[in-house]
Amino acid sequence: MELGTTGKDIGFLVNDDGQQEQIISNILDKYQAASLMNKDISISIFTLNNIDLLNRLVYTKKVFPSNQSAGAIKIPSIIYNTSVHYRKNHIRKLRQLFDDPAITFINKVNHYDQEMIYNILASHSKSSDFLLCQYSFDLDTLKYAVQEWEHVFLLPVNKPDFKKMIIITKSSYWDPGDYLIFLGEDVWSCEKDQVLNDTLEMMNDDQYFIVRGIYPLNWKEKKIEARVYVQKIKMNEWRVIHMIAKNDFMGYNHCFIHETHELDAILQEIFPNTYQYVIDKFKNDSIRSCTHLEKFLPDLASCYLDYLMDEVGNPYLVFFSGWEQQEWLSRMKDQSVWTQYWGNALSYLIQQGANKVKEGNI
Amino acid sequence: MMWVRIEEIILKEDIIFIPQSLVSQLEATVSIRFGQKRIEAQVRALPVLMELGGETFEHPQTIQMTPSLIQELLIVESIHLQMMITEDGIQLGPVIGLLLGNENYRYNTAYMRRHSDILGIYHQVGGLICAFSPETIDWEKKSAYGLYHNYFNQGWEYGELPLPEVVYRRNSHTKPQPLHRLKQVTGGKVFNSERLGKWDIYEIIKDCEPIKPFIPETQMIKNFSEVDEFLNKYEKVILKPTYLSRGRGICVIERVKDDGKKLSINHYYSNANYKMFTMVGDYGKHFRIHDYRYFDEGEIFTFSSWALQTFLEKEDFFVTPYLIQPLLPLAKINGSPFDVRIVMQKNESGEWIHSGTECRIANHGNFLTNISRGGYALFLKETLQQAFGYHMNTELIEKEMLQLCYQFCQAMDQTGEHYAEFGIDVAIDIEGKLWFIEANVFPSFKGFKHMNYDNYLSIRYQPLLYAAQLDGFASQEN
Repeated sequence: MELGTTGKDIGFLVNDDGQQEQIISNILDKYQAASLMNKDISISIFTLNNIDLLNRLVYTKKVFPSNQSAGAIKIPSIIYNTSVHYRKNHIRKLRQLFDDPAITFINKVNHYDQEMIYNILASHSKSSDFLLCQYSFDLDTLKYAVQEWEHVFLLPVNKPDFKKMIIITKSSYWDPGDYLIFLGEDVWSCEKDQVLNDTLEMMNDDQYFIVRGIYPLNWKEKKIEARVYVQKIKMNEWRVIHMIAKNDFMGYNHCFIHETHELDAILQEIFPNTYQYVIDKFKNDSIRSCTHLEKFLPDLASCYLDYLMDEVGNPYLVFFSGWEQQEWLSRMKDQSVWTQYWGNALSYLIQQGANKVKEGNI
Repeated sequence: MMWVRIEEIILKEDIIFIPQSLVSQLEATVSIRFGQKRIEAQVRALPVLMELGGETFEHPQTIQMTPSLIQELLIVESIHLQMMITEDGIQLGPVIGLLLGNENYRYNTAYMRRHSDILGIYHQVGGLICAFSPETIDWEKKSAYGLYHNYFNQGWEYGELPLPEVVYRRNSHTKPQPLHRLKQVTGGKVFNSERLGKWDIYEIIKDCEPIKPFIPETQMIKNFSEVDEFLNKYEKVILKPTYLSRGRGICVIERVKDDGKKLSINHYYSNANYKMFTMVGDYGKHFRIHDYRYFDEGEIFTFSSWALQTFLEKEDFFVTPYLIQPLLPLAKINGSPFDVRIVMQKNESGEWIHSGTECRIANHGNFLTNISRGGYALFLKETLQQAFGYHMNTELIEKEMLQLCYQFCQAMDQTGEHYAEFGIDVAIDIEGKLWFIEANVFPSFKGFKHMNYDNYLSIRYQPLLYAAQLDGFASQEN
């Protein structure tokens, strides 16, 4: 059956491993089937490998409402992308889809150049209080930063990952050497004349940019990495969906397993008096960031922002990404948050489908 | 015309302060134009002591504007502008846009370095040079979110920018709807406005009498019988995808004698990175395929007629738009064929001019002359002398080539689209006959960069000079 002929065909582009397909299928099975039938909307779930560009078809096992038969269907006119692609031929295929005037993408990509995100946010005057001072990488700047600053962060341009972040700090009185260099779960101490060489070695030819660091806030001897999930609920409305605290990298002398906590609870414990202010700052900074980024990346609709905090609870943006691939949210005790995250994406997709029909664009 | 820089003056109303001599030419309230942005403002005279400079880019006259004006016009403070008094008021500019595609996630400062060469003459033009995607245009506000060139930092910065009056397109990844709207909004001042495939260009020029004799027989292939017909007529044919450039997707098929190997396909597997053929005996006509789609050197297979048909069908040659032409017996130097890339551009008067010529010599043993396929560039005279000897009248050949290119550009001007730059590929066969191979709307200048850097730079600069005059501004040297 060619769903495209109904003019209300929308779909999710998911990863190959079947996990995302399973989640969205369950949600559609449970909650949406009846409502989809009322709206006369068909939703398909597919991977990039399921797309036949030449014949403009998608081979999908699942089309909702579930009374519709799957098989070869027309490529949906609106696609919500929750997948990430690294292989050259996949990227080429994706780019061909982006060029298609009949297809609108939501979250075209879920992986961004972090330095570009920093630069875009820096163009917004109200970003200055949660953006750390940033410079493109060159050896002279690194040399200056290491000499002059207490904490230097080297953020990977292409991998929004705390494990890849390099932190250079001046050693304390009781530490060995002049500097400590942290990378993922490893810590090195080094002398002044070795710090640049050791840092370059750790960079391993990957691209980094230089950020004036802070001393990150610890909680139970672990650095708090705050992740704020933000989604576009409807046109011009961004909403913070959830905030978690997690541990993805290990600090000096710390040993722990990956953990996820509710950020609210931790902040309440650390900042009993200013808790509400800190929480609001996280939320406002995140919404402000997304609202500004959307102007340059108009397809953006689901993303997360990773922050470190200083000792008074000011958040500082470290990483930004689209649809979360590590699924930290799914590790929360309260699974309804995870379902809500997907549910919001589904609602937004349906809304966009309905709008497009109304505008007569399909 | 005067060179100016803008300084903010904190006052509540919309006021512009300009030199006294200009105030007397204007009404008390005028329209100020910056790109597509327009705003009414009161005009006042600057203090006499502030009247200084304005003759050159390096020494601009400081003019003052109130914050509301600067914000409304989206004026970036770090630029030097030209200021003109027009019939309805004041025009600041030029505002020139580089049109990016729809891959907004890629447009970082590193990406923009590819456009940095054109800015070598910024000091002649001044104004706001910005780059934006059609997807980030706010049509109501007449603005776009993108990057602008900060001459003083020598870098690209993000911001909200006025929608330009003139747009230089050098990117094919643009959806038709916003492009169409942009053409309308700018009054047709988007140049290199349409991406044209090889077949589109052929369709435009095939009946153009002065060009017709130079075009090789060309056909869009839809089935094997059309390929077979060409192969009966020509010993060697070339299959070209209509929408790819830089030698991508090309296959050359040559008719060969039955050498007794009698090969055919009985098993076939292919994807974008890998393919495999197993061959068994077969009888009939034989063909050799030089497959440049995945391999720079051109993988060679020998097929029977039936196997060739299977190959072409399985590899989607009749689904993807491909055209077929005879493989011309191109003149060679040191055994390698060459063609000639001629760059035609519009000058500040809007006339087509010849900006550069390079000969592109194929890598040894290769049919493809593209620089990106290992070809290299040489000067025309040198190449022709090596190919045909010193007795050849190279000036006459060059004159004929340029004549052909001018005729092509004139034909393209009749299409109703706006073009200001072409990379035209012509070739000379072993008998000295001239052929029109193809033309590129977004040509690569790689060969020029290596062969003659000054010529390369002048080619890169020309669109900026053209764009400035299209916006009504002159360049400093003029």
